[in-house]
Amino acid sequence: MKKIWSAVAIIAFVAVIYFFERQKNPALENPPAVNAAVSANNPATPAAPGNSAIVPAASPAGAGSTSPNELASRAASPSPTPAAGEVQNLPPLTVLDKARVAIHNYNSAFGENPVGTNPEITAALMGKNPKQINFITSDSGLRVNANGEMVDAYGTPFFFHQLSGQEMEIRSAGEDRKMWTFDDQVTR
Amino acid sequence: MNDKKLSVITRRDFVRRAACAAVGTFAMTSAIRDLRFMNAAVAQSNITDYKALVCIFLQGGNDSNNLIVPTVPSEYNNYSMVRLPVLALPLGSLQTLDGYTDPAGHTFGLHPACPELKTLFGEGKLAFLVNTGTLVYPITRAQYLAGTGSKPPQLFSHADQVTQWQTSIPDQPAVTGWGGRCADLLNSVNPNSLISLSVSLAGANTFEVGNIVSQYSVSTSGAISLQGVSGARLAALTNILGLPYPNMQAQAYAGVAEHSINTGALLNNAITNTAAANFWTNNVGGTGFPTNITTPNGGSTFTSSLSSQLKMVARLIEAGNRAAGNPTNGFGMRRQIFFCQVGGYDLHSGQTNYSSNTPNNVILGAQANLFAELSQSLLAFQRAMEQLGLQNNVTAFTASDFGRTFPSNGVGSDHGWGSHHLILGGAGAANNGSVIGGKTYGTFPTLTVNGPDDTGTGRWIPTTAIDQYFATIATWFGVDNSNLSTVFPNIGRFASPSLGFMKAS
Repeated sequence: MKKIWSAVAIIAFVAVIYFFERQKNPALENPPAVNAAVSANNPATPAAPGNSAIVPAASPAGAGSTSPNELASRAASPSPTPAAGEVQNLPPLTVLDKARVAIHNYNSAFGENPVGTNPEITAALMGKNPKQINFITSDSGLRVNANGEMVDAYGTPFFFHQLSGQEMEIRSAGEDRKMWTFDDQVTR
Repeated sequence: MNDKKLSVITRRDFVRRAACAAVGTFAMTSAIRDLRFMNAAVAQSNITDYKALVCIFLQGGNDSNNLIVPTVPSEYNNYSMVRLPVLALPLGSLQTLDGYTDPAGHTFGLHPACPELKTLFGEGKLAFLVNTGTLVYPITRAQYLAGTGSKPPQLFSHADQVTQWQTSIPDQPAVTGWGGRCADLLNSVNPNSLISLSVSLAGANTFEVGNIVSQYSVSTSGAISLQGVSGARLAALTNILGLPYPNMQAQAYAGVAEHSINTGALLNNAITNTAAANFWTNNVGGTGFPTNITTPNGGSTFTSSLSSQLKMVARLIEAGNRAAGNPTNGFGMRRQIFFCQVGGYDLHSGQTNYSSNTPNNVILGAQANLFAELSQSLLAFQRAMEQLGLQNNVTAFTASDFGRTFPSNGVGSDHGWGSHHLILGGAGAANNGSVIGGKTYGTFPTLTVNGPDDTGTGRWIPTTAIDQYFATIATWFGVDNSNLSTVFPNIGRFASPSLGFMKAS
């Protein structure tokens, strides 16, 4: 009987420790995209434009550079678990494609694409739609800035060009973060 | 027990029956509409004069914020402040509409590339309709923001808005265009019609799709004929097509092909006569229809598609109005509808040539080139109609996907909603004719982001529905009041079916 109570106490102790660890590090239970969605509604915690955390370390050509300060910041991080937004580490083209997939999923649900400006489209994708479906889910790998705009891997808002109700051209400004320049990346 | 059985309808049964009912209702609605067209066509058969409509579609969504600019100092300053530096046209560069003030006290200037439009406005042959767009019902900014008003589906989407502009029924699936519905209604007034009432210079389009009348596509050089088939070869082909075929599908195909060849030959023969003299090259101070457009103020020179399209329209109008048969080879028509289109207006970037080193180049660039083309081509077309003596019988008007955002995106402008448009025709001050020009119609929007006419990002909420815009034109064209709701089913939702910019006859 004593052994059983000891085992229960140990299990309870481990559970308490685990609970406190999760409380200290919310990234464990809130995947990055959810954090991003939260940041869109909370101007106090904006997703920093151009945050290199989401730019892959071994980025493809033209995928942006990481400042020494940011590298130092990462190296100094004591936590083995990446902070929110860092765990994605997605290449720019992957982020662009995930935006395309989100639009595609919306279209599948409603038979047409969301329309309007970036904040209007982002809001529609995040649940401001007739069925209140959130298409920017925890595994979507997409981020939203403080202005409610879905941003690319470099932190620049996407440009959504509505060709028709069924076809959307999504443009990322690319590494130079300037729209309509040679390094823009586009998908449909 | 039996009663119970009769009363029970499963969900599957209900869906099946509802679907059947929906299909039946749709078919019945179409049939009723066709019958109404047939009855209406009979009622319209007392028309004996000649009239033509020319739709000029500015594909891509025209930034009309820079076509007609307010010049009252406070309004211009507001315009300039929001559109600087990339899109703000300098006040001194504008083609001011001298002597004109609208009922609300606005004065205006046109884009510096449009001196010809200024001339036509001054002659009373050109009118502007401001802030018009697709609407399901009238809608206010408060309703738009609260999501309580009915909005046209897929606002800001190119293809959907093009379709809605051309059907004028934004809240229903596209079946016919409003030009096609007018053609259905008025086709019977063209006796022994040799070519279609609806002709397109820009290929297949929704505007001219009708239930009865099919659109006929021509190129800027005439009917599209078979390549490499002429003389004896063409005669042999015609003979083969004229043979009886046991297969009904083959017989029908042969009939269509033969009819197409004959119609093409007829049309090309008719327009050959119109091109015989120097008529088309001497109608604008000796320059004729400009094949090459040079943008003013040091802009570029380029070949114009629109000018070529309008030249062909002018020739088809001449042939259409001429008596049928020999010796003139005309078509003897009383009504014709034409569709032209020019692309390139979707200027998210490169709208002007502004740069920090060359700020004055804001008056040049892609939009300046498009406006120069529009301005010069319209003047040539109007002069051609005057030379034919048909200026009171022909009305040209513009349409476009949507307007564009008032603030710049840094290099251009993005998709908007309400926009300003041109209506051209008539003889100026005459009592009858077509356009009552030299005026603006509609309510000019308050050019303020988050102002009373804004959705929130400088996209104007239309204060005039395109239904009203087109109903005004269609009424002049011969659609009487009793048939107006057949052509424009939503017209009753708006204040007035007539905006007053067309003369009564």
